[in-house]
Amino acid sequence: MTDLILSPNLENADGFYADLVAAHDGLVKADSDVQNARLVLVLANHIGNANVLSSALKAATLKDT
Amino acid sequence: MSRLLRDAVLDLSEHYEFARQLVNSGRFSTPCSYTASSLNSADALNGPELTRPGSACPDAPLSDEFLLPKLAGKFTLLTIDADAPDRIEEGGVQATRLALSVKDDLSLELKRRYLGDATGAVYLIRPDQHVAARRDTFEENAFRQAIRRATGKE
Repeated sequence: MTDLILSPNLENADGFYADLVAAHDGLVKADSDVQNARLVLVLANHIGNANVLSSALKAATLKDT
Repeated sequence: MSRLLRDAVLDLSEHYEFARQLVNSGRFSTPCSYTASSLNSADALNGPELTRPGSACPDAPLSDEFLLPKLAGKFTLLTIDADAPDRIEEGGVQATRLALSVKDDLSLELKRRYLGDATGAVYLIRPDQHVAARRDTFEENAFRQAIRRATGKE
Protein backbone atom coordinates (compact mmCIF):
# COMPACT_ATOMS: atom_id res chain seq x y z
CA MET A 1 0.00 0.00 0.00
CA THR A 2 1.38 3.44 -0.93
CA ASP A 3 1.91 5.88 1.91
CA LEU A 4 1.92 9.66 1.80
CA ILE A 5 5.45 11.01 1.43
CA LEU A 6 6.16 13.71 3.99
CA SER A 7 9.96 13.59 3.74
CA PRO A 8 11.57 16.04 1.26
CA ASN A 9 10.61 14.88 -2.22
CA LEU A 10 10.48 17.95 -4.48
CA GLU A 11 12.94 17.77 -7.39
CA ASN A 12 13.45 21.53 -7.27
CA ALA A 13 11.84 22.97 -4.15
CA ASP A 14 12.94 26.58 -4.66
CA GLY A 15 12.04 26.48 -8.33
CA PHE A 16 8.59 25.10 -7.60
CA TYR A 17 7.96 27.63 -4.85
CA ALA A 18 8.90 30.48 -7.20
CA ASP A 19 6.64 29.06 -9.92
CA LEU A 20 3.75 28.74 -7.48
CA VAL A 21 4.12 32.37 -6.38
CA ALA A 22 4.43 33.50 -10.00
CA ALA A 23 1.27 31.61 -10.93
CA HIS A 24 -0.64 33.92 -8.58
CA ASP A 25 1.02 37.11 -9.76
CA GLY A 26 -1.51 39.90 -10.24
CA LEU A 27 -4.47 37.79 -9.19
CA VAL A 28 -7.06 39.10 -6.74
CA LYS A 29 -7.84 36.86 -3.79
CA ALA A 30 -10.95 35.29 -5.32
CA ASP A 31 -9.06 34.29 -8.46
CA SER A 32 -6.11 33.09 -6.39
CA ASP A 33 -8.42 30.96 -4.28
CA VAL A 34 -10.01 29.23 -7.25
CA GLN A 35 -6.56 28.75 -8.83
CA ASN A 36 -5.46 26.99 -5.64
CA ALA A 37 -8.57 24.84 -5.68
CA ARG A 38 -7.93 23.85 -9.28
CA LEU A 39 -4.33 22.96 -8.47
CA VAL A 40 -5.48 20.81 -5.55
CA LEU A 41 -7.83 18.91 -7.85
CA VAL A 42 -5.28 18.49 -10.64
CA LEU A 43 -2.68 17.14 -8.21
CA ALA A 44 -5.20 14.98 -6.36
CA ASN A 45 -6.18 13.33 -9.62
CA HIS A 46 -2.50 12.72 -10.45
CA ILE A 47 -1.96 11.04 -7.10
CA GLY A 48 -5.15 9.03 -7.46
CA ASN A 49 -4.52 6.64 -4.56
CA ALA A 50 -7.28 7.03 -1.98
CA ASN A 51 -5.07 6.15 0.96
CA VAL A 52 -2.45 8.75 0.03
CA LEU A 53 -5.13 11.38 -0.57
CA SER A 54 -6.76 10.69 2.77
CA SER A 55 -3.41 11.00 4.50
CA ALA A 56 -2.70 14.20 2.60
CA LEU A 57 -5.99 15.73 3.76
CA LYS A 58 -5.16 14.88 7.35
CA ALA A 59 -1.63 16.26 7.00
CA ALA A 60 -3.03 19.50 5.57
CA THR A 61 -5.49 19.98 8.42
CA LEU A 62 -2.60 19.74 10.84
CA LYS A 63 -4.47 17.27 13.00
CA ASP A 64 -3.13 13.95 14.29
CA THR A 65 -4.72 10.88 12.75
CA MET B 1 -15.65 26.66 0.31
CA SER B 2 -17.80 24.08 -1.44
CA ARG B 3 -18.77 26.77 -3.93
CA LEU B 4 -15.07 27.45 -4.55
CA LEU B 5 -14.46 23.78 -5.25
CA ARG B 6 -17.53 23.56 -7.41
CA ASP B 7 -16.29 26.46 -9.54
CA ALA B 8 -12.82 24.89 -9.72
CA VAL B 9 -14.28 21.57 -10.88
CA LEU B 10 -16.47 23.24 -13.50
CA ASP B 11 -13.52 25.30 -14.82
CA LEU B 12 -11.36 22.19 -15.08
CA SER B 13 -14.09 20.07 -16.63
CA GLU B 14 -14.06 22.34 -19.69
CA HIS B 15 -10.46 21.36 -20.32
CA TYR B 16 -9.71 18.03 -18.69
CA GLU B 17 -11.55 14.76 -18.71
CA PHE B 18 -10.64 13.83 -15.14
CA ALA B 19 -12.69 16.74 -13.81
CA ARG B 20 -15.85 15.56 -15.57
CA GLN B 21 -15.82 12.52 -13.32
CA LEU B 22 -16.16 14.90 -10.38
CA VAL B 23 -19.00 16.77 -12.08
CA ASN B 24 -21.06 13.61 -12.42
CA SER B 25 -21.18 12.80 -8.75
CA GLY B 26 -24.22 13.43 -6.61
CA ARG B 27 -23.21 16.79 -5.23
CA PHE B 28 -23.48 18.38 -8.68
CA SER B 29 -26.86 16.98 -9.55
CA THR B 30 -28.84 20.12 -8.91
CA PRO B 31 -31.59 20.95 -11.34
CA CYS B 32 -31.06 23.82 -13.74
CA SER B 33 -31.18 27.20 -12.03
CA TYR B 34 -32.73 30.09 -13.89
CA THR B 35 -31.13 32.80 -11.80
CA ALA B 36 -30.36 35.09 -14.72
CA SER B 37 -33.89 35.01 -16.15
CA SER B 38 -35.98 38.17 -16.43
CA LEU B 39 -38.90 36.21 -15.03
CA ASN B 40 -37.27 36.43 -11.59
CA SER B 41 -37.57 39.22 -9.11
CA ALA B 42 -34.58 40.44 -7.12
CA ASP B 43 -33.80 38.46 -3.99
CA ALA B 44 -35.24 40.35 -1.02
CA LEU B 45 -34.65 37.73 1.66
CA ASN B 46 -31.43 37.19 3.55
CA GLY B 47 -31.91 33.50 3.00
CA PRO B 48 -30.09 30.40 1.77
CA GLU B 49 -28.58 30.55 -1.68
CA LEU B 50 -30.17 27.20 -2.48
CA THR B 51 -33.61 28.82 -2.78
CA ARG B 52 -32.79 32.18 -4.33
CA PRO B 53 -35.07 33.39 -7.14
CA GLY B 54 -34.64 31.22 -10.22
CA SER B 55 -33.86 28.09 -8.25
CA ALA B 56 -35.85 24.89 -8.39
CA CYS B 57 -37.56 24.34 -5.06
CA PRO B 58 -35.84 21.71 -2.97
CA ASP B 59 -38.18 19.26 -1.28
CA ALA B 60 -38.72 19.22 2.48
CA PRO B 61 -40.56 16.83 4.77
CA LEU B 62 -43.70 18.18 6.42
CA SER B 63 -45.60 16.54 9.26
CA ASP B 64 -47.13 13.77 7.19
CA GLU B 65 -46.13 14.50 3.61
CA PHE B 66 -43.63 16.39 1.45
CA LEU B 67 -43.52 19.95 0.17
CA LEU B 68 -43.06 19.60 -3.58
CA PRO B 69 -46.35 17.87 -4.44
CA LYS B 70 -48.12 20.84 -2.84
CA LEU B 71 -46.41 23.29 -5.19
CA ALA B 72 -47.07 21.73 -8.57
CA GLY B 73 -49.05 23.30 -11.38
CA LYS B 74 -49.95 26.68 -9.93
CA PHE B 75 -48.53 29.88 -8.52
CA THR B 76 -48.13 29.58 -4.76
CA LEU B 77 -47.57 32.16 -2.09
CA LEU B 78 -45.51 30.01 0.24
CA THR B 79 -45.33 31.51 3.70
CA ILE B 80 -43.08 30.13 6.40
CA ASP B 81 -43.87 31.67 9.78
CA ALA B 82 -45.11 34.77 7.97
CA ASP B 83 -48.43 36.29 7.07
CA ALA B 84 -50.01 36.81 3.67
CA PRO B 85 -53.48 36.86 2.15
CA ASP B 86 -54.98 33.48 1.23
CA ARG B 87 -55.13 34.47 -2.37
CA ILE B 88 -53.83 37.19 -4.64
CA GLU B 89 -54.77 37.82 -8.21
CA GLU B 90 -52.78 39.92 -10.64
CA GLY B 91 -53.43 40.24 -14.35
CA GLY B 92 -55.68 37.19 -14.40
CA VAL B 93 -53.11 35.02 -12.64
CA GLN B 94 -53.96 33.72 -9.21
CA ALA B 95 -51.53 32.73 -6.48
CA THR B 96 -52.87 30.78 -3.52
CA ARG B 97 -51.27 30.68 -0.13
CA LEU B 98 -49.58 27.65 1.39
CA ALA B 99 -48.99 28.49 5.04
CA LEU B 100 -46.21 26.56 6.72
CA SER B 101 -44.17 26.81 9.86
CA VAL B 102 -40.77 25.43 10.72
CA LYS B 103 -42.65 23.54 13.43
CA ASP B 104 -44.16 21.40 10.63
CA ASP B 105 -40.79 19.84 9.94
CA LEU B 106 -38.96 18.17 12.79
CA SER B 107 -35.99 17.42 10.55
CA LEU B 108 -35.44 21.19 10.18
CA GLU B 109 -34.82 20.81 6.43
CA LEU B 110 -37.57 23.34 5.69
CA LYS B 111 -35.84 25.90 7.89
CA ARG B 112 -32.40 25.08 6.56
CA ARG B 113 -33.42 25.26 2.93
CA TYR B 114 -35.95 28.09 2.91
CA LEU B 115 -35.09 30.34 5.86
CA GLY B 116 -31.49 29.96 6.93
CA ASP B 117 -31.03 32.79 9.41
CA ALA B 118 -34.32 34.48 8.57
CA THR B 119 -37.20 34.06 11.03
CA GLY B 120 -39.92 34.11 8.41
CA ALA B 121 -40.32 34.30 4.65
CA VAL B 122 -42.83 34.69 1.87
CA TYR B 123 -42.02 33.00 -1.43
CA LEU B 124 -43.73 33.27 -4.79
CA ILE B 125 -43.39 29.83 -6.38
CA ARG B 126 -44.09 29.27 -10.07
CA PRO B 127 -46.18 26.37 -11.40
CA ASP B 128 -42.92 24.67 -12.43
CA GLN B 129 -41.82 24.67 -8.78
CA HIS B 130 -39.16 27.33 -9.24
CA VAL B 131 -38.76 30.35 -6.99
CA ALA B 132 -39.91 33.53 -8.70
CA ALA B 133 -39.46 35.88 -5.76
CA ARG B 134 -38.93 35.92 -2.02
CA ARG B 135 -39.06 38.46 0.78
CA ASP B 136 -39.08 38.38 4.55
CA THR B 137 -42.65 39.68 4.72
CA PHE B 138 -45.62 40.01 2.40
CA GLU B 139 -45.65 43.31 0.51
CA GLU B 140 -48.54 43.49 -1.87
CA ASN B 141 -46.98 45.71 -4.52
CA ALA B 142 -43.79 43.68 -4.56
CA PHE B 143 -45.60 40.38 -5.01
CA ARG B 144 -48.00 41.77 -7.60
CA GLN B 145 -44.97 42.95 -9.53
CA ALA B 146 -43.33 39.57 -9.06
CA ILE B 147 -46.37 37.87 -10.59
CA ARG B 148 -46.28 40.26 -13.53
CA ARG B 149 -42.56 39.59 -14.04
CA ALA B 150 -43.04 35.84 -13.71
CA THR B 151 -45.72 35.90 -16.39
CA GLY B 152 -43.68 38.05 -18.74
CA LYS B 153 -45.83 41.13 -18.34
CA GLU B 154 -43.14 43.37 -16.92
